[in-house]
Amino acid sequence: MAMADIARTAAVAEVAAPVLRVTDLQVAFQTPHGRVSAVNGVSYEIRPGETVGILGESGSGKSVSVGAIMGLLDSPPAEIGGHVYFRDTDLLNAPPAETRRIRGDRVSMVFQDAVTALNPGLTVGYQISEMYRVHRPGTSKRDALNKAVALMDQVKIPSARQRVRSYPYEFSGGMSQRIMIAMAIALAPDVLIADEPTTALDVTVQAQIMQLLTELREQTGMALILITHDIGVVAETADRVMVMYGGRVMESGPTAEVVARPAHPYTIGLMNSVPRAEMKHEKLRTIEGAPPVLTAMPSGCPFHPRCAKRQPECSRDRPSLQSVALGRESACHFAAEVLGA
Amino acid sequence: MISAITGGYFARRLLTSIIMLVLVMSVVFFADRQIGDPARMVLGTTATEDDVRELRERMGLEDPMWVQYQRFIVGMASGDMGDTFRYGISKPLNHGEIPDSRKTLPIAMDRLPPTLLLGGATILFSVIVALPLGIYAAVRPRTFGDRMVNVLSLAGVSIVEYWFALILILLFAVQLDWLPTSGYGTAAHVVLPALALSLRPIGRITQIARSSMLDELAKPYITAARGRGIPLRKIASVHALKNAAIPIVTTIGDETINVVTGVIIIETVFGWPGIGALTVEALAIRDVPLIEATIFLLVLMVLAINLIVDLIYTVLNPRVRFGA
Amino acid sequence: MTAETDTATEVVEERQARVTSRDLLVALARDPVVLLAVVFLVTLVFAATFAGWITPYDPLTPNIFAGRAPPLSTVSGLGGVEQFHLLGTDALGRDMLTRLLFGARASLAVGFVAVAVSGIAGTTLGLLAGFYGGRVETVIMRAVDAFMAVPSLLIALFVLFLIGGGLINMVLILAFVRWVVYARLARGITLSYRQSSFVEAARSIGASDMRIIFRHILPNMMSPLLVLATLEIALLILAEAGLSFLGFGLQPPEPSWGLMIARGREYLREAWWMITFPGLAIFLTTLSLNLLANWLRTITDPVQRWRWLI
Repeated sequence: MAMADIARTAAVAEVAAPVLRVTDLQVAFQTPHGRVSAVNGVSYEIRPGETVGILGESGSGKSVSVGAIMGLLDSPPAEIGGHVYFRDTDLLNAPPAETRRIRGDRVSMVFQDAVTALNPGLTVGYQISEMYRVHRPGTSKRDALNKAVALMDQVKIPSARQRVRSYPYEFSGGMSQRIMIAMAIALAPDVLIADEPTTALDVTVQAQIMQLLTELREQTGMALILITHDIGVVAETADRVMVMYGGRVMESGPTAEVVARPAHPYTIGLMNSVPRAEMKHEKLRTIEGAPPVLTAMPSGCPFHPRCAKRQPECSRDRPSLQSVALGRESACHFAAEVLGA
Repeated sequence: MISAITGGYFARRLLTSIIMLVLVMSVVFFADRQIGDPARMVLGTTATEDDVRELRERMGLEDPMWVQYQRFIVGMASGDMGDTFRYGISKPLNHGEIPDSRKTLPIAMDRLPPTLLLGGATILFSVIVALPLGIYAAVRPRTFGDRMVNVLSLAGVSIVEYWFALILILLFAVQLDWLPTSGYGTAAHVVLPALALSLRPIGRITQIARSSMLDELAKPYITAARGRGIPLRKIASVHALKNAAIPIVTTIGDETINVVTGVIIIETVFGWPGIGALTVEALAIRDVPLIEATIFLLVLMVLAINLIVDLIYTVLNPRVRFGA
Repeated sequence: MTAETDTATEVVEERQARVTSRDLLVALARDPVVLLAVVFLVTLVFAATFAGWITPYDPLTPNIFAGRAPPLSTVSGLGGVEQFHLLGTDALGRDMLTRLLFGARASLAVGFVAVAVSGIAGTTLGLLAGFYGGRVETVIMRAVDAFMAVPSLLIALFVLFLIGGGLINMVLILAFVRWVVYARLARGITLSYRQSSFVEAARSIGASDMRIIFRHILPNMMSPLLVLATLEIALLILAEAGLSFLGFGLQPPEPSWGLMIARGREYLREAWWMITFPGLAIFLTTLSLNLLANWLRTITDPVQRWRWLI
């Protein structure tokens, strides 16, 4: 894969082999209206200690792509293709017993809405300690519960010892998210996937949760895949970013460079729609139109109906992901011009 | 973990149940007075008018209605629901020892243990069979196994219990001679009536277990649990079941109540000396005080089952427990 | 769990929003078991209605020469005429099949009429309780609670004891004990619609309360009501048979499936057919009704409505 080659020569120091490699991931769903493609040819890799941001609006395929990695999509209706290597194991094609041991243990995930992602009928202590009971057979109930308390301390839940026997509804949204994070990091995973971890939370709490995730990554050296629609969050935390639209990668590269000089009109649109301090009296520009519906994907470049720079060929030919600079790729016919502008 | 709030809740529920019991028994009391002269029923058609009048005096039937009603309510509260008209006198009933007392409530109470045994065995057996079936179907929706479970549970709900009971008797007692046709005493006696009674609860509990498990299995916390690598078996039996339990328990409660009425017929068919058979006998011989006593106990059982179900709710649902 | 899968399922569900009678027929054709159940029910209703033309025998006249003839036997009847009995005869020599057909009349009449009466009454009360709230609701729902506290069969048994059995009483009593299930369902759905936009819209153009209740809210609960009514017909057929079996329902010589089982019980050892066929008739009828209800529910189900039934 081209992207993998370029990543290898990227400015990021090559200290370790990639811990997770996604190659040509495809996800489609069978619906009464026929087969709809949700993720198309997504490839990337991530190294220990690295943070990769996957940026996109709802419907861009960003969540489905990690759902496939975590084995959360039922087939049918989902049809999944490509490979996801965790070290040497292909998570998409290995026997279920093997992948189940990796999921939750080596690769774990924090969900968007912790309030619905926690089991309302079980105590948080049970749910956290279950990680040890399931993945480390032989751990005693008492040990597991003590470890749960330690984890709750680690994610900064006050008076953890007392609250370990509480039920999820007794926690606020932010605290619930901390519990989800505690479960996800319980077994010191190599890869943590955070799917919109702050979307359901208040702004002040959002910052705390992001800080917690960053700290934990620094402490443990795990790789972090951060899925978000918020380019600000990506800019602050991710080493590299991948911008998705209509199930395809539009642009990827080191975050600092992408933010400074986007190579795709969609990325520019995303950045212009974020309010910034230096903008002062400038009008906030949103991208016109709405993201495409899966059942009615535009021909050619999926972004062309909303693109300010579209040309006739944009609706005819679908641009492929091309290298545009060192470690950077863009799927735009006019990437060079966009980058140069 | 039962807090003061739950305590208050239960005091309230208990009070409502008692009011309901008094209400139902009052209706029964006034309705019973409409079916004829109790003294005439006791003495039969051959008795003289004078005898009847004298007995009416003794039975307090000459008192104003509200005095009789008062006596009835006070008697009910103190566990005295009057003397039976005929039981042990003109037509000894068939089952069990004939008690010394002619008081109806002790007679009816004697019939309670066999009914509790039969009902308990039925519900226990039903739950043991139905829960795994329902869960099995829910984790494999739209498979052949699921369809089979669905059709079988519908068949269970559709069957005529006493007819099935008779077929069982014909097969296992008459043809094969494995089990006794009727009676009470050994474990073998429980098998056929419990089997006959359990078909409907098995069908209903299976259906509800399946549908509520399906509901739960579609929720985000199940997806999250899968993402944590928790085995499917454990997700179904712990994570989903814990939350699906409330409708299931409700159904088990409803079906236990249905068994309480189901015993009315099944006990008659199997000659089971329980409260259900006694109710039918009392109705058949128009023994008013005995009817009142049996209905009293049946309604009491139903109200008790409802209370127990409520108690189980508070254990299952942390929110109810804390009154949130 | 994710926006994308939600979109996919939304697309799936959208299609089920509007169910036409043509959709129902197409779906029925695809489900052989349910189709069979419907065919059975239609045949049964037809056969029960025209029982007098279908069978040459009379359901009530005994034939002392032909008592307890096994199925498929030919016996000589009055005047030496050869008579063939497909399902045998009962203790009094009456043709089983004939009595089953006339018994079906009683069962179906009790089931359909009692369900119609209780359904109309219960739905109306539930609609009023849900729509008006306040004291109307309190009174109606207290009555519902009281009825729910005592098992229906027990109430029915007691009232039959008071006023006596027979077809008309049976229908009235079963309707009297079962109206509550419709009231509960109708109230629950009405509550969820009371504040909805289409009710607000109807009110804003000056529609009367009765018009809103019966023209706007009622049509929206027809499919769950239909499913409930189908289940109830099955339940009441079972109840009628049970009460008649105990001797409190229909009275001999009226042909009733429950009574036939009761009589057959006395000849359990000698004449298996006397008990087997009426029981099978009830079983097949209720099973067909339950299959139909189950199928209707999955076809017309916007999931949340069913919460009110559990």
